[in-house]
Amino acid sequence: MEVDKGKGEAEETRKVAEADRDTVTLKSSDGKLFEVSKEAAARLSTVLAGMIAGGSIDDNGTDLKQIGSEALENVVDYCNKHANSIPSAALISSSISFNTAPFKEPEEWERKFVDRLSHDALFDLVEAANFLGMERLLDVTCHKISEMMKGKSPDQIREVFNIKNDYTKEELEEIRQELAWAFYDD
Amino acid sequence: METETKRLRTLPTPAAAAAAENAAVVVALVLGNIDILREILLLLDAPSHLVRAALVSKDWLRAAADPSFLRRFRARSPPRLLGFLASFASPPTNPPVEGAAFTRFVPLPHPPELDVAARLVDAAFNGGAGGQTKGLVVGCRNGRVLVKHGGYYGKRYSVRTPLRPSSAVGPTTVARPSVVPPQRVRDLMEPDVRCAQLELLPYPGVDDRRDALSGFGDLTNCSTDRYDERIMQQAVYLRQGSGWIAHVSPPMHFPVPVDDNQEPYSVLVGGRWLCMTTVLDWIVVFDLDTGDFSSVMFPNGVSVAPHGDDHMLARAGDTGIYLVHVKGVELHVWFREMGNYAAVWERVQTVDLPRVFRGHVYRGFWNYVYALDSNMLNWDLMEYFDRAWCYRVRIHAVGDDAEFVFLTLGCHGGVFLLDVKRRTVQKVLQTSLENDGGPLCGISAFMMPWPPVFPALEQT
Repeated sequence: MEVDKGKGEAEETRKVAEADRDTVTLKSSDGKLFEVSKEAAARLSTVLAGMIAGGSIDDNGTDLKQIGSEALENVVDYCNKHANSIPSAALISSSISFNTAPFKEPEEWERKFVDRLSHDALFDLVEAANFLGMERLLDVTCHKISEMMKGKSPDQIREVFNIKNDYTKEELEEIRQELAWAFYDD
Repeated sequence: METETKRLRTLPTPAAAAAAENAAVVVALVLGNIDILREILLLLDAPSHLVRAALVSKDWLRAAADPSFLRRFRARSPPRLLGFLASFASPPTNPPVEGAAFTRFVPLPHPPELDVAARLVDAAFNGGAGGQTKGLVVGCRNGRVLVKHGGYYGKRYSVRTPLRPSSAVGPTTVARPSVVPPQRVRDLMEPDVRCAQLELLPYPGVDDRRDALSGFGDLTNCSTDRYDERIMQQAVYLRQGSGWIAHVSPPMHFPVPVDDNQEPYSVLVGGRWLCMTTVLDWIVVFDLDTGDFSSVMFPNGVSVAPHGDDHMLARAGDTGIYLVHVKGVELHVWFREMGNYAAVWERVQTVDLPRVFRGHVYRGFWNYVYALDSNMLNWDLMEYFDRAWCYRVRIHAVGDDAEFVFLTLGCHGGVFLLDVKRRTVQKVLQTSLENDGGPLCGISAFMMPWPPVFPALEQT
């Protein structure tokens, strides 16, 4: 959601509000502004939590030069949806390190959230989630990408993700022989 | 990398071309980030999906073959039970007669990505056409199957790898150590002491002994007047190269007379402790690291049936052992730490069999089982054996960490698979004397191998 900065607002009111505003404003690389729940941002993003705690949040829009408006819109959308959904016990532990916490299956709304994204938007969102230290969003988006790989042959995976094959024919054949059980009739 | 993305985004190229290029760059950025790629691969869940992904590129192979990644993958997606190998043979007789034995693979319900694996094992053991294979399966570990040929007292083993049909290492046939041991071994055997024999075959070319397969050989009986039921010896023949290295225990003295187990079982814990139920109510342990033999008594009050098929051992990770025992109408799982003489047995699971088998067997069956168990001492022996034959619960195989147990009830009932944690039971095979070629004499669980062994590719 784009925010129209209220220019007419009195400077006084703004200053008072600044300290205990319950939202923060984020600015995408192409200059668009988005407002997001401060609580959700701090809970879901280690980077934003650090910025909020460190007072480096700019009320006129905190610059996130690495994130385009489309990805940032999705980030903000995710945070707001998250703030509105009742956090299950599973999600509260999202502050545990990415590398050790057991993965929790995406909830229904999270599934829907990533399902509606285009291929490009999904990868942009992974980048953004990674940049902002949003472990849960990273989990959910990575899960979607792994779902896209399941059941596909190596050739099909390469095609979908535009990856160059750097194996020789012989090397591929060797692995196929050794691990024949993993290959369907492709 | 980040700056490149940004630069591309602001380049004054036609919008569509820029967007396409940008999209490709972002995908490459995301999948080129090893941490993100690992997370994506981790969530593939099935090992077959992982293996296929490893063939996408060498970077992906490196990510997939990393040992710490594989540990995480396994924790999330443990190897599955693909099916089981059921062997049928006439019971062993004394003196031994070379009898025919047959083995059949029975697949269990599995997800579609394991269809190929099930087909390969089916082709190897059933000829792909519901047939069966000659030989007695005595062990199965990590996709390798140890088959004994020529019945219980057969003189040959073969190691089969059904999941690698085109492997250069075909079925390896191994002659069992000679019944007449060489002089040096004979010197170690006391003439008045019976000696049990076990053969351990580490997989050729694999250093990790945890996957070694083992089978029991002959029991050397003695019939002199000085025969003492409290003493026995254990011989362990370890396959090395094309020969056998013999380890023979000194005579082991037990505080009470011990009976031979007619269906001895062995598990190798952590590639080090070889645990054998050679005699009833005891575990004979051979430490492969030190070459020492020792014995561990079963938990207090646990006394197993003379026919030895009411209990079995299972690995508890790499450092402990489970004893699974059917006591009356209950199945008990006991745990004990290995390598610690002060360790004590602890009962960790109690399964109420009539409850989990509800709907699978008539309730009266359990009344007989219960009566047999509680009145055992009041019955005359003939009567006991007669009834025990019909109303007994036999354990045929136990999964690692005692996760599942293959059981039969009565004499010619079906084979059931008990999921110990979930407390569920399914009937997985109906045996038939006419079609099977003999009574069921052994089951080996066929687990999907782990980890996937990726060939070492030359670095370019």
